[in-house]
Amino acid sequence: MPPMTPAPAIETARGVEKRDSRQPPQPVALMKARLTSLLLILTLTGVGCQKQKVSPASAPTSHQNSVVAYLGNAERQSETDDQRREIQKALEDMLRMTPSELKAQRYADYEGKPGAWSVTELLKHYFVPDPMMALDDEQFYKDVGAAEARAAIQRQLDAVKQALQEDMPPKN
Amino acid sequence: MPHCTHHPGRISVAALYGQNYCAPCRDGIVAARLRVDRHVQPRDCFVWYQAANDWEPITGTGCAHWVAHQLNIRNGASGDRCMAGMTYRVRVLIQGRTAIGDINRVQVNDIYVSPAVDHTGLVIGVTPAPRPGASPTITIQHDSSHQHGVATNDFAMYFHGHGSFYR
Repeated sequence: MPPMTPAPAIETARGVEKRDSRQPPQPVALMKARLTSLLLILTLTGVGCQKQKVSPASAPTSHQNSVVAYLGNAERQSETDDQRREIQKALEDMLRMTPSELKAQRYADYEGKPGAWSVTELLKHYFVPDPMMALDDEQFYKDVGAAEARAAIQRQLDAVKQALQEDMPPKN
Repeated sequence: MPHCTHHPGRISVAALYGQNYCAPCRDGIVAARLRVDRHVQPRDCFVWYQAANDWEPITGTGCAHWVAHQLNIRNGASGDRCMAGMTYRVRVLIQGRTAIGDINRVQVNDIYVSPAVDHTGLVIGVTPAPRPGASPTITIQHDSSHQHGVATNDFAMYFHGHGSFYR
């Protein structure tokens, strides 16, 4: 993998300073007028308030259920039937347990080591949300019991059950 | 003057995969890399920028990510790709590819996808069927969360002979 390499920021910065210093002096009134116009344009267009789109990240909006946002359109990635069964167990627990019960629950990791992951850790290891987003653990436990969350969980549960049926080895 | 990709007001102190990053981003990337699952290969690019200087490992098993790096697949938008620009979703990985209906036509460098489209790997070996009506022996390499890293397995044995191939 390519190592991190320092960017030539200092040299370039000096170059900018030099270029700026060569600009001819301008009347103060003209500078103020230009600055006022710029601020007006930024205000009207909202540019000054916009956050630059900096990443594929998408945090759920304040009214959006975090479980729905995370699982609703997520791709499940799982390799073995043991892993799929553990996912199934976790999803079923999400549907039947209280948040406090769920918080205390632990699940096997990729290699089958029991008691390794919390339910949110399991979700992060197996599900890729679309769009990519972070799953806030505390918010998850607040949202998991909501009707829309249960519907999203049920859809993923149906899918993993279907996968387990599809991957059954052929009977002799 | 290079500025941070995510924070245009900050001067870049590090360049990675053709992008510039400020000091908090550089530190966040380094910290997030340490939390990437040990089986994931390659691991340095398997992180993403969340918000507020926070970088996190990409979620999921990384199976599609490994295949994408082997075949240089850059399908999808930025939210479908790692820092190096490689796809990390299985469904996006096979977009635009054709499913191979006849298993006897499978070749090296075809993409294996599990029946539920939840795991993927790369065909690295094919031994033709010994006789008509028999199946070829297909060897698949994949980033295996279950086997702690990149593993080589037989299609018939490890994957029960189930799944699809794409080219």
